[in-house]
Amino acid sequence: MKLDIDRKKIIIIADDDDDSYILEEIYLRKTDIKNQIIRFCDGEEMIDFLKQEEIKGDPLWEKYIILMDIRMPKIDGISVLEFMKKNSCLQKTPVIMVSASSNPNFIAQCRNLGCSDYFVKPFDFEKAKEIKNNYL
Amino acid sequence: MLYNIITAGILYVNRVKMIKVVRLLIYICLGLSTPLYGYAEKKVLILCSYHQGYVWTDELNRGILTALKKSGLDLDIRIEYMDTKHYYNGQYFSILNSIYKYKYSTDKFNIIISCDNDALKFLSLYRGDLFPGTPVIYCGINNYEPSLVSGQSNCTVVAEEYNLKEIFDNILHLHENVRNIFVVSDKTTTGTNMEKVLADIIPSYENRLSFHIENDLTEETLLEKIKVLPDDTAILLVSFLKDKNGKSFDHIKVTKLISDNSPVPVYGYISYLLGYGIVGGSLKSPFRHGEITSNLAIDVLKGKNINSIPVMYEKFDTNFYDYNQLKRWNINKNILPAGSVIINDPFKFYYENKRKLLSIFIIILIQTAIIILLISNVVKRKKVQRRLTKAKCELESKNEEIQSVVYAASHDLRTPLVNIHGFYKLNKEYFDKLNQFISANINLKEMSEEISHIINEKIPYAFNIVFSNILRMDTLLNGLLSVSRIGDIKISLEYLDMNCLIANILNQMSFQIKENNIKIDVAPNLPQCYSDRDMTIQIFTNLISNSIKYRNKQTDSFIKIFGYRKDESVYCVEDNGIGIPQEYKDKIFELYHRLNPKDSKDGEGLGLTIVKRILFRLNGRIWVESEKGMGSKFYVALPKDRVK
Repeated sequence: MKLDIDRKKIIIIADDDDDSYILEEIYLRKTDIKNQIIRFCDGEEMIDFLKQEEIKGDPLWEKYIILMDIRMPKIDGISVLEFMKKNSCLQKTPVIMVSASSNPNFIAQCRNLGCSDYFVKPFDFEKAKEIKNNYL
Repeated sequence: MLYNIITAGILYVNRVKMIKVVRLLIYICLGLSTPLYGYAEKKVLILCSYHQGYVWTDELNRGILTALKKSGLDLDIRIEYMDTKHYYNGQYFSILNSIYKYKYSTDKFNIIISCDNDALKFLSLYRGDLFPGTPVIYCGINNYEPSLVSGQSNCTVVAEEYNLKEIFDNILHLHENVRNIFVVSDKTTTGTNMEKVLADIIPSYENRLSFHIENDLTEETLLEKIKVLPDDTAILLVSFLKDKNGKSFDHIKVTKLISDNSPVPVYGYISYLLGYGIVGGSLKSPFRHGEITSNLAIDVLKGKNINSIPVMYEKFDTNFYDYNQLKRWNINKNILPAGSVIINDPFKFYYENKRKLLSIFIIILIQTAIIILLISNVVKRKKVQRRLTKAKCELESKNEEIQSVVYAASHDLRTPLVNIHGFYKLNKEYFDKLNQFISANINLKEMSEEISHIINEKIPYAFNIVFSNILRMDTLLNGLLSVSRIGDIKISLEYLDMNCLIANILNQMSFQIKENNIKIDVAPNLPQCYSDRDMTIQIFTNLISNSIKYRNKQTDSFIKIFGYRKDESVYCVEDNGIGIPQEYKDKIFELYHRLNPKDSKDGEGLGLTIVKRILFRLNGRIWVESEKGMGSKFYVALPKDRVK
């Protein structure tokens, strides 16, 4: 059982908007997942965290699944995605972009960079279930 | 000889110098060839009565030589001056005869041009002895009578006529008031001869002119007499080559002397005095006399029989005047005889080239007009270009702005919208659940705790979020409107006292400043700028309020404001706040961009966007120097002066 908890992926939500985060958390919990959820408010915090994990050399990073907004202060989501996909240790971590924008340019850009999925806000129960089924 | 030179030359030079030598030989040949044609030349003797330096003689000779040169004939010209003004007696003539005999016994002249009466006298005595058979043209002959050349053949005469009648008529024509003529003469041959002529003419002017002749005065007495001449007098200068004391005078110099001292106009009869004080009129020209004579001589040299040429009289068909004298005596140019030539006329060039000048003037005028047109065109084009560049700049920035608005709209404006959407859906789910409970109607009591949790907590919570997002949306839209409105506000530019302006702003913000315990330091010598008052207040209000907002709460905060003047007036708002990391320096001016959204919930992310936009309209700019944690320096540059 203990091993089982350890194996559970940690969900990272990167979004500067509180309400968006709350909604995502509510729906994810509605799917009865027990995974740990960590929140970051901007791209810089996110990258700092990822870099720390990398230095640790801990294989834990393989256990993350990331839900990330595009428009964030300091460093935007696309830049973080780019950073992750260039980094051999972080490449395989699934990244799901969750953005208010349905701009096809952004969607194409994120797909090209290698995001696992692109959800247009608002986040809802269907999207939460998809995440649960596909990535957890 | 030539052959030897060439041979020696060829032997001497090497190949390199060959070309030079060939060229040299060509020159030698050409040089040698010139005299070959000279055998066809004609010999001419000009025998002058007087001496070189006597103006009459010099002018006459100049006329003769000019015409001879123009003829193109190859001539060998000799000139003899008998100098009879200084030496004149029978013994002198016989001495001259011996000299000429010695000199010219072997020379055969083709023609002799004899000048003035003394030369005629000499030749009539010795011609047969000295130059037998040589044709002679006698020129400059005064008081011609056929007896003067009686017994001579192979000769002709160009006689001098007297123009005194023409001169007097001219005086009467030009000066209505003149009744007296003061005649300046002397005891020389010329003077005596002229007096004789004068004596013949005087009776015809009875009742019109009275004559007063002076021929035996010293220079001093002459000038004294002249100086007191009454207004109704004119002077006729006949001759003043020698005065009573035997002092010699130059014809031209004496003319000038008399004219300068005279209160009345001075007239003369010889052309070379024109320009030296005489008014003018019909004038004898020795130069022209010489030309006429020469032309006859050329005819003879070309084969014309001299005996077929009749005696010629010089004609006076052109009148000459001196512009300066006309002006001095107030003589209207319009009353001068038709065809008169005016010397020293500053407008002469204009009259002669009136048409050319006019056309040149018109051409210059047209060109000037074209140039002005072109210049104004260029200026206009540059102005338009400048406006175009500015318009392009404005358009580009508008475009950028639209992009940023689109970006903001797609992200920032949509964010509250999607939140409302999301929480609406959540609430709908709650209501569905409540409906299920109600319609199922089972275990309502057991479920009442969950129902009351949904009704009392979950639904109001979601509604609160919806409402707060509606408010946020409203704020964002208002902000967007206020930014876009900056483009429409009317600007009224003026010179601003920045110390006064900043003091007012700080006064307005004094509550915030005191509340946050911020030390303010404003330099006393802020430069003035040329800007819009309200917009400038907005700029500095936003910057100062940013400095307060992003202060470092761990230390005592300060804000320093200072400025300097270069091409523009530059102001700096410096703080010791949290600073801006290098990579965000450009982003901070973007629409809705906030540095630390978590820390400052009160901002809309519009302050710097507005500042930047205002500065664009005011032709100013803004830049920032900052490092994370090291405070920031915001520089604002505004025009220091009215733009030309």
